Amino acid sequence: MSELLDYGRAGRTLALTDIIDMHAHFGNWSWHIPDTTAAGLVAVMDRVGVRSMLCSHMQCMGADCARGNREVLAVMRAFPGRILGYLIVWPWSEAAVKAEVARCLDAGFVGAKLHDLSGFPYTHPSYTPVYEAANDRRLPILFHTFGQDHQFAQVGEIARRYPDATILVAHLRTMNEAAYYRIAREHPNVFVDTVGSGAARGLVERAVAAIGADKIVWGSDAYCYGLPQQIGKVLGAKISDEDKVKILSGNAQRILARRAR
Amino acid sequence: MPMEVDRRQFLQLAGANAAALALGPIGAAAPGTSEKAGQTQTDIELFDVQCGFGGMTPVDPKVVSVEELVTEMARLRIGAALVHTATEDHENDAPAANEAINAACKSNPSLVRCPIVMPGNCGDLRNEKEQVAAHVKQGCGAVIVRPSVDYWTTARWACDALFGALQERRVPVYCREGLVSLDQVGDLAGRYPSLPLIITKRHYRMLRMLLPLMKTFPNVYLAIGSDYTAHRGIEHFVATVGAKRLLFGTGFPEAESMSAVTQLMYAEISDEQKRLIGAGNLKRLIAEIKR
Repeated sequence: MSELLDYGRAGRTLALTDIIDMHAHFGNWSWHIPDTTAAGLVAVMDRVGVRSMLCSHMQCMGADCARGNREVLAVMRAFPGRILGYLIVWPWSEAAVKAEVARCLDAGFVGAKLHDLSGFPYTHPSYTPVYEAANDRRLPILFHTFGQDHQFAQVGEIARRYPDATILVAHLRTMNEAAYYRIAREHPNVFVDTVGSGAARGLVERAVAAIGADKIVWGSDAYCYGLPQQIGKVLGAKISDEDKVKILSGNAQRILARRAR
Repeated sequence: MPMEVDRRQFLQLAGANAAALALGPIGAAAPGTSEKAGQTQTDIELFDVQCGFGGMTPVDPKVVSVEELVTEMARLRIGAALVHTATEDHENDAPAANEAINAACKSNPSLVRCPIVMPGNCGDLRNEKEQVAAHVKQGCGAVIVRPSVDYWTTARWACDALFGALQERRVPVYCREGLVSLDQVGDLAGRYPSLPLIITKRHYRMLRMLLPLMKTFPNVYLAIGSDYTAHRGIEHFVATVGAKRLLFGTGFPEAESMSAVTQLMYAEISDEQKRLIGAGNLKRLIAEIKR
């Protein structure tokens, strides 16, 4: 019996569970997305019962990061507490990155999202200001990972060098699944996120068995993906409701509560 | 009835430290606890158009039995399923697969046959009319075509007899990504306008193709199972082509079935539209088969 499964099966709002989506996006991208408004995102959050969403701009996969951060800041201000911002940077200059990080953190961003579609390794020196700020302020950094060994090697190195930053590795998936578990076991500050379009059967159960529910956070990748589809894999997983609550909310709350004031 | 989880219980469940949480305000209050307008109040019947058993699932060493499929359906209250052998593209012996499907459906009344068909022009299979008649007689709810796996072409000269026979009896045709291209679906939909074509495993990036295809051809239906996970994608298609053109599907055993359930159940559409997508449309298509 899972009461959370019953909520999902009935399409009832998961009220009072303070669910936090740790992986979401805002901004245009190449394929058609039916609704690219922040209000549309918040409407979906309300239907499902998601309290807050950590958003980075789609330009995390591009170069116009300053524009992306401005647009995310605007929706953070339009929906305070509902949409929280991950800052993004294009690593062309350490000084420029440092200035952008300072500007964004002063404005209220709560973490950073880095994507290696830029072609730069995560160990590129220009990312140093992001890591130093995250370490000093105990902020989360969401790294795009997609099962590639070199990504885990780089992220593992960052996790080791900056132990007070919270490191989130994205897209737990069946390809190289063991690498996600290995990096989470090796580093106390590394968490795995559940985002994946195909929602592979049994993946959440295997992750809980491998690393424990305390090391897993939920994300939707909205609006690349649909948030209601992404929450189903957790609500329907053959794990305890206690573990589901940790994945959907408790772990995220602890990560955000670590932030220095 | 599901138990309401209050905030204190929730925080205890989450193992969260209340003092730490107090230091980490995340802004506005949680969404309201009242039922949202248009939110489903009762179970919506579900009929899975996109699921299978047996065979092989990549990276999963375990063969999924019919019993596991039926158990999973019961767990999620999915009342019926159109079944094929899994995965659709990894089955190399179509007659044996069809026998396995027949056996599964005979012993499980909630399962409906979706056998593999192909042109019978090489002498190794019965002719197309006989194949289709036999499957209809055995109670099929649709058939799968796999030109890319079974090495045939959807050109008229190779398969007109097959699709003509299927159209004559209005047997829905299951067209999975990787097995039948969207160009082929469009071509077939135009050539056989009374033949229902169900497209499955189309992902969230394909809307610029899916939408004009479905607007152009009223006999094309979209399964919303894995990997169709477009943000507000159900709402968008309901608004543009109508709820009668979408079918609930999961993608089991490759995919987690519950993801498709929540995708439908949390969609901002009416309960009546959810009922059509959940089961009504597939039931209607199966009822329209000329037996």
